[in-house]
Amino acid sequence: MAPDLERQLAAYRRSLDDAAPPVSADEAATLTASSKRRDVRVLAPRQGVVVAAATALVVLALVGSILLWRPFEETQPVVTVPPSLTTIDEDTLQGVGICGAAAGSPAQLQPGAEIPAWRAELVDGGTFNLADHCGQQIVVLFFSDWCDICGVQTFAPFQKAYDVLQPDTVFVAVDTLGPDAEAARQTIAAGGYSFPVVIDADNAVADAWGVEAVPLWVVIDIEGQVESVLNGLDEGLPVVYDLAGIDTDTGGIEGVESEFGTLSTQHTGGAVVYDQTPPVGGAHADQWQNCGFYTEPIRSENAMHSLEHGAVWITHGPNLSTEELDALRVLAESSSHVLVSPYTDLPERVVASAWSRQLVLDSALDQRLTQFVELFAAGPQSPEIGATCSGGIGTPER
Amino acid sequence: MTEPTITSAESAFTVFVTETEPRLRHALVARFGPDSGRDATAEALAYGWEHWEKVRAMANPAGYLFRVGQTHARRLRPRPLHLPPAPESGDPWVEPGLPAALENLSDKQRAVVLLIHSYAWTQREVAEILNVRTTTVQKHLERALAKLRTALEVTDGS
Repeated sequence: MAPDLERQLAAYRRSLDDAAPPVSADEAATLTASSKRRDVRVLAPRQGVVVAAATALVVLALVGSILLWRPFEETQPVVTVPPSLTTIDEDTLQGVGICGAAAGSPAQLQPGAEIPAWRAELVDGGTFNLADHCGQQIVVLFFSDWCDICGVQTFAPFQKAYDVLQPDTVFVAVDTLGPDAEAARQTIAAGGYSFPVVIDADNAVADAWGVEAVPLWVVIDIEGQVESVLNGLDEGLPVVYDLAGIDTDTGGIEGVESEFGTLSTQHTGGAVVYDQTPPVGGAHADQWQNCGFYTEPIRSENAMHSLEHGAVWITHGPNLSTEELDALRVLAESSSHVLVSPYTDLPERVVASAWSRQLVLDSALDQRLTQFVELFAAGPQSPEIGATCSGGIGTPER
Repeated sequence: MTEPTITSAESAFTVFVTETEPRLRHALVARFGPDSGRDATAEALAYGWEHWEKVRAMANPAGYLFRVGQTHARRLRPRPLHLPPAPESGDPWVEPGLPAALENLSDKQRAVVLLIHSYAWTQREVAEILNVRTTTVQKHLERALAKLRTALEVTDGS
């Protein structure tokens, strides 16, 4: 006779443990150091040394680390927030859809599904009730304030679409999966974003809709049914730009070139001969150039790594006026993803380049330069959307 | 030869991993299977190392890192669960059909039943990490066990 199910499940643990052996601290830290997507400063433990020494240092480490360790990031100023910003109306979640139809709970988040309506308090006061918007197209962004690529990197395009489409289309951003209202408020205030934001403090909204990963966009049609579900920046951003009516090839900016074929994203230690002057992408150095304003030429191999991370590189010849240089300084400060530098033997006065995008200009005061920066700095053309343009090499003017 | 130096942050992180890794891995393996689950564990711990100052100050770092790992696993293209075969020998004997029957459960049912009966978590611990009510865990567990019993044709608790 077979042993009872619970005992079988307990015995099955051995198989699971064999199939998924423990992850060591070294392995995690090595992964951090090697992972191409993670562009942060890393202090990797030395292989083999840490584990051996750790046992002896357990007590010392816990005490010592408090005294010696310095954080990578500077401490953020504290903003006081009321203790409870969110109340989810339990009744609203029980089987009532956005347009009043019966909705299963938790929902299957897929096109055509009826999903439950919810109601939550907005970060800046007032209540957002999804059921109030039956008959309108609704775009819901689920994000987490604790992670750049699932949070703040989604805001600029969301704001652009909001600016174009509201009030006909309703936009709401839901901070979920362990939100921190203070952090969300700071980020939103710092970026000057104006779309509605709710804090999903107990993950009730995410649970009701079956949201388990962020960022995630849900577009709801005028009948209250799910029209599309978009996972991650790579799926979501093109659709959000499309909603905003923004052409991500040229942005509708006259003179922008975007046909450069396939560009290599390989890393290389040596010098690279690029097809364009200045280059618009291709093989590049391991380290990226920190964004900012430079008064001396920079290496293209480093700049290309910055472009891969979404930088706009504004290059110029030697004969710019003071007024033009000041305008470029302002542009460099307007975004975390702008590089400005002279370029030796540049055949034009000013050239703006992003990954696979380029615009040649006669003057740095041309309005198209600002438009180019607004769209492409940390823009949709980046092969690594969300990657940083600091923590690399080079010290810009400021 | 010079003595290698070890910063205290590194040692504290190693201690943290020793304490936290098993629970994190169990939760992610129960939810996503051994391949994706282990990858997600490594990614989540790497995230913990990058954001060590923030993570170490948290009341419930395992719960936080579970969400990080979950986001990572979800972002991967869906991968088959690849539950390992039952042990061939040992006591008690395990039905060879158990992995297949587990794969036929819903994601939440499987996560709950593996965490509670394979990894010996309490219902409350499961509720906390999955961010659902204990009553929901209870419900998933009952349905999961009933489905497994039907699939394996074992009788209740005997």
